[in-house]
Amino acid sequence: MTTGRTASDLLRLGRVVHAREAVRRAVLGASAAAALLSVLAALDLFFRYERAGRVVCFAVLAAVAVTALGIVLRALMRRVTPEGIAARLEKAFPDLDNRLINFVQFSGVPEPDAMVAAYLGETPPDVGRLSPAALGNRRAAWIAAGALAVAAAMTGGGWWWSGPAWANAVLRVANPLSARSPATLARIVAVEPGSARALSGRPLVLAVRAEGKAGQPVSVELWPADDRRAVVEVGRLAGRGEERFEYPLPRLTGNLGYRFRAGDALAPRHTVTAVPPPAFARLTARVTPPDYLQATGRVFDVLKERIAAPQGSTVRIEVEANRDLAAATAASGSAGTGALARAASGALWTGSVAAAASGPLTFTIADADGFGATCEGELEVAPDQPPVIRILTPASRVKLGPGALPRIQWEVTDDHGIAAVALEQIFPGDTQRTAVAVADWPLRGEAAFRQLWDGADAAWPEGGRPLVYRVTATDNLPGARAPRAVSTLVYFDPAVTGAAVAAQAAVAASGQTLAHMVELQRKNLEKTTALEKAGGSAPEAWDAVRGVQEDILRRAGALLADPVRPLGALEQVVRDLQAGPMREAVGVVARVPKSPDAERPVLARRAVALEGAILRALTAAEEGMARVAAHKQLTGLFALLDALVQGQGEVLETSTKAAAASASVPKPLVDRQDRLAEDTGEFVRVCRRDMAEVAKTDAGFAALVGQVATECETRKVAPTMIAAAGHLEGNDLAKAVPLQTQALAHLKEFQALLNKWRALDAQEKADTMGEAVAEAADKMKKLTGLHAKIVDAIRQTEQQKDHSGKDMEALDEELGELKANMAESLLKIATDLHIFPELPVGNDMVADVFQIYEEVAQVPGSESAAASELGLQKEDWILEALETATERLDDMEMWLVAQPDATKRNTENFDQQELPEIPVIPLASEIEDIIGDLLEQEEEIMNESDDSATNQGSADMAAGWGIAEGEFANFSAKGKSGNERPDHKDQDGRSLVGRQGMADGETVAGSGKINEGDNNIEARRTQDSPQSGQVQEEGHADAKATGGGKGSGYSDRLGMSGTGPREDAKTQARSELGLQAMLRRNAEALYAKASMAHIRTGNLDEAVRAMRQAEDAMRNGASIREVREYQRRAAAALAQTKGDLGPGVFTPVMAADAGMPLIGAQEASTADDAPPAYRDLVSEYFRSLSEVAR
Amino acid sequence: MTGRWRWAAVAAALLGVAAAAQAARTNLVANGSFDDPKDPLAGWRTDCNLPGESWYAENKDLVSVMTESAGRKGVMRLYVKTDDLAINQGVKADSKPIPIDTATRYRFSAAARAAGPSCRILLEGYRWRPGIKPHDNPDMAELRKCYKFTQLYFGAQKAGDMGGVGRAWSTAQFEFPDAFKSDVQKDIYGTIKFVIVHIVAIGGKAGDLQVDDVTLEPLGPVKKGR
Repeated sequence: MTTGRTASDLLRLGRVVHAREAVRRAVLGASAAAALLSVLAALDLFFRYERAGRVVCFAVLAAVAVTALGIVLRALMRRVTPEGIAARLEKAFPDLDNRLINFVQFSGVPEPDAMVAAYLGETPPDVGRLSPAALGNRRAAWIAAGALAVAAAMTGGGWWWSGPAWANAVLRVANPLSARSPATLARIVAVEPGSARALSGRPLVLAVRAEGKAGQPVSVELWPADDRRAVVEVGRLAGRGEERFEYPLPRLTGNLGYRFRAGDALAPRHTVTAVPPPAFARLTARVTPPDYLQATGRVFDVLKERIAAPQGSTVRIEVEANRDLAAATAASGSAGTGALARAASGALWTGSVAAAASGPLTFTIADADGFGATCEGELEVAPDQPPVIRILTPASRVKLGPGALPRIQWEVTDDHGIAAVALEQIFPGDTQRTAVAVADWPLRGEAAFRQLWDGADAAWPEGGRPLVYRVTATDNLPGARAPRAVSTLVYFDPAVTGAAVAAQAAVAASGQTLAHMVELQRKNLEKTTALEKAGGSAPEAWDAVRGVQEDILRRAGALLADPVRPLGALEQVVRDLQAGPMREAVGVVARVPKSPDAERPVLARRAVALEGAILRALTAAEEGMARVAAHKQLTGLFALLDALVQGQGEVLETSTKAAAASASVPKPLVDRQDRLAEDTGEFVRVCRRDMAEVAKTDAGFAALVGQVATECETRKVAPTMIAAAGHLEGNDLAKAVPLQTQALAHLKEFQALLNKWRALDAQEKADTMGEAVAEAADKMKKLTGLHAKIVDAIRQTEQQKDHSGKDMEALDEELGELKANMAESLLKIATDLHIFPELPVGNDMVADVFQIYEEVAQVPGSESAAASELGLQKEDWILEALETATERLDDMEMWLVAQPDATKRNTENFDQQELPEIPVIPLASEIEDIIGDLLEQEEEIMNESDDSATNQGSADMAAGWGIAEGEFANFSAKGKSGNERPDHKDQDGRSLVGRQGMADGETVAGSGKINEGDNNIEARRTQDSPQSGQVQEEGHADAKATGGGKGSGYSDRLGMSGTGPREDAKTQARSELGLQAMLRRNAEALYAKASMAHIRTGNLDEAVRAMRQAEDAMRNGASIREVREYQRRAAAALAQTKGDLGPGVFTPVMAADAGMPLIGAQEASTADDAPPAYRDLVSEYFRSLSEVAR
Repeated sequence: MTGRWRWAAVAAALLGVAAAAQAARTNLVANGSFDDPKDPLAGWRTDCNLPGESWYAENKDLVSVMTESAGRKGVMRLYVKTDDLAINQGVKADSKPIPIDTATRYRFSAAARAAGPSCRILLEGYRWRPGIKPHDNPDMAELRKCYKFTQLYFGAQKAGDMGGVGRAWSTAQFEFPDAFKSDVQKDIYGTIKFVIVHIVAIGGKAGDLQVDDVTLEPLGPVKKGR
């Protein structure tokens, strides 16, 4: 081998060695890069890098790769020299013994000496046989292989663990610019609502739909604008496909950022922007009534009130929102939906709605985001009703007596005004029933019109036919659509001779009917008494008794329904009898045979008692009928004379005016003078007839009446009038007027004569009555005093034990204490007990009562917080809740209050009649009491804060929150001792022992301690009855007893009960009630005065009755409509009375006479059909139906 | 004592102090930090099914533990779902009964924040119900409430019906017993055998009450004269 050959071999070998080194380094670098890629991919699986993270990872990976490449290149580019390779070979092959290196070095000597030359002349070591592998770093090669294995294991493991997700992660790291999403074990499908706008203040539900491996948590991160970040786990994946998770927000208070996470899946962050909801800032409706109503428009606040619009009005809507809107509509049931128009600004929208029909109005607004609001209004369209005509007098068809004119009084009312009212006459013989206008009254839209037509110009039809009139009224609605109302026909039968006789006959017949009723009742009472004594239960016998009682009831009803009103002043007596005992007797008798044996004797005794009461009242009424008849006779006589005087005066006045005006005499005037002459003759006949009757009771007055009749004949009053009529017919007023004047003077003289007697008689009667009343009052006073003494004595006897065994000292002490109690009780007036309902005493006690003490930190300064007042009205739901309560309710969180009560609650109390029977709710088996130390409060404020006594209460309630004395009484024993003194007021209900206070209810605790409470109370002395049971007092408190005591208490010696009379103070009557009562008393006085003076009273008694009913309705707290109805009846009766008291005598036509069916008030309903308080109303209702029908 | 023994004594003393300090910080409330890994609500009664608790039939569904809230990990959340719920029964959670010794002084504390409702967080004292034989693991049905401690006040005013908790986390505490105001209080306090932590989100409006780190630590014997 030559030197050149060796060098080239060495160089070749060196390049091979470097190449192998580069490969090793490349393997190592690639392994490191792969391992790094695996690590980064694994981290990506967990952290799901965003773009930046991926770039950073890639940068790291690239840096590693570049570094590795550099190292590889460095290995490849390393300089190769024969000396270097030779040295490495010498090191790898020691057996070369430096010959190779020496050869290479010597061969480089330019001028080798002999020795070198000789050395070079030898054969160098054969480089070609040496293996390059021997020159490599075996350890490094193993490391490279191991690194490669690790990298492969990491890559394979990642694939094995997460499957395709691994490749995704590797690729995400390897290519950070790709849009590849991170791989996850769970997947978020959707997020709701995403980034959106939502209404501020409204609930919001954040939701996510996700799927993935089971057990992975789903959570939401929240970034509220007004709060710090929070993370809430909303559930865990169940691994059953797509699942939905929600996070409800009760109220969106501001902008909210949020992001859902499901396992390793992360949703993008969203933001909910809170926007205020569109709202109605103002919603008004301007109602413009039609012109004819001449009414001014009105603006309604639709958000607060109903829109009331007359029919035909224009309703202009104006909507103002809190911000700009995109749309606004108004919808009504009749007109459909109409869009409102944008006005001055985007927040103001207007439009119009026609007031065609009543119904709801729905207003809707919406903003550009689609958020809207709706408001419900109500449009109440008042249609123009036709006028209402009510004929006040005559109340029914009447026969005109002597001197009477066909007077008609009526009233027309309309909701919006009347255009015209007319009186029309209908002639019975006219088959066309043509109405002839008698008079008309053009109006200018008045809402009410009342008129009394005196009938002076009445045109009498031929042949004694009745006068028939009607009233018409026209509404002021313009055009032909104006409603017109027509009244019922008003009939006047012409005067007939003997009408007064007929009336007297009716009175007499009524007397006979009463007598018959008395007889019936007497016999029936005997039968009932016999049955009661015999204890008989035979249905037939009791049916017979019931039949008679029903007959009596019917007869009473018929008497009361008689338009002649023959009972006179006795009518109210019979009415009360008929509405009360007679009806009840029928019911009781009917129930006797159907009742259980135990109840039958009780009912039978009741029947006997009722029949006895009926008999006594009927007997008294029958006896009074003679006086009624006499009174009617005299009243009729006086009325007849008064009518003649007034009629003749009017005729004279008309004649005088006609004479002065030289006018012709109208025919009605002649007719009237003729009729007055006839009536004068009738008057004389009545005088003659009544004289005989009156002589039985008052001979002096009978003589006076006879004298008047005689004088009337002697002075030829009637012939004078006939003569005057003749002159009038001949139109000779000059001759007629003196005759008329003469006749009038005579009549006035007779009238003065009778009036003198009338005044004296009334005075005598008044004196007699006054004496009788004074005597009765005196007797009553004595009786009351006696009764009080007896009651007091009985109480003393009942309540004091036998002290005979005690020593005098003990008795003295006890007596002293009793006296002190007595004196104290005189000062104590239980002012409010009358408001409390009948206590539903349960007589049930709970033995297991336990106490909880509560620490309370009183609010500083609350002890001197000023007292305030609060008015609380009564509500219907309280009564409903009282009635419907059935079971005991659970309670809520309760605690003692930290501030003393500084509110004075003034409660409007229910009338006792309103209160239902309070149900007794079962008590719990154990009751907890919560007590704390009394809160501090200034005494003056404490006194100012005392509530009024209340009867608003609950049978049970779900108690909760602060324990304090409120405006409610409670009947389920849920009150606690608390940490305040009880208010200084009577307290009803059911309770534990508690604190000392003014109790009036029932104690249900089997044990307890009377804790410190209201120290300013006195032992009460009222008629409270103790309830059964015994309370075990824990320790003895020197407390004062008020109400709610048990039959067995702490002491039987010191005395917890009193003997004083009950001092229940009634609340002051309301002024309306007082005014009503005053009106009624005035009417009663007027009625009495008129009756005593034999002056006709018309329907004054009906007015009194209606006033009394109105008064009762007010007192009982009836609805205002009922009160108003009674008052309306009273007003109508008064108006009718006013009409009846005009000149002339009217005789109401009996139903049978008129050929018209008339349902009597008392026949309208049978016994027990309606509660007593409503029977009159029901009867009136049926009677009105009857009147309408005819 | 040689130098080596001296250093050993110092080390032992330090260890003793550390142990004592650790003992003094013993929290008697089980899972008061709501971080029980198995059941975050372990030790708390939210399922109200005792007689008289019909108002709280759905209470259990409204109490949960939040992973994190405003910087705190593991927080009990009482979710007052509606305004109506807030102004009526509220949402509540009670701890399991914790036996106490009335001769020992304790410190009760908790951290809370709320957005919407108000709250009342207090200890309630219980004694054995009549007829129940005392044992170590009482059930609520075997106990009877007898005492209600002052509630925790988180606001500036340490008085009132409600706890005054705000939107940010704040911690309140109080120690008991204090001087007794009345014989009734003293007598009933002496009957207490157990206390429970009573937390109720009530009043205000709908929203969350969040509670964390509820602790009851014994402080040592009550000094004489209290």
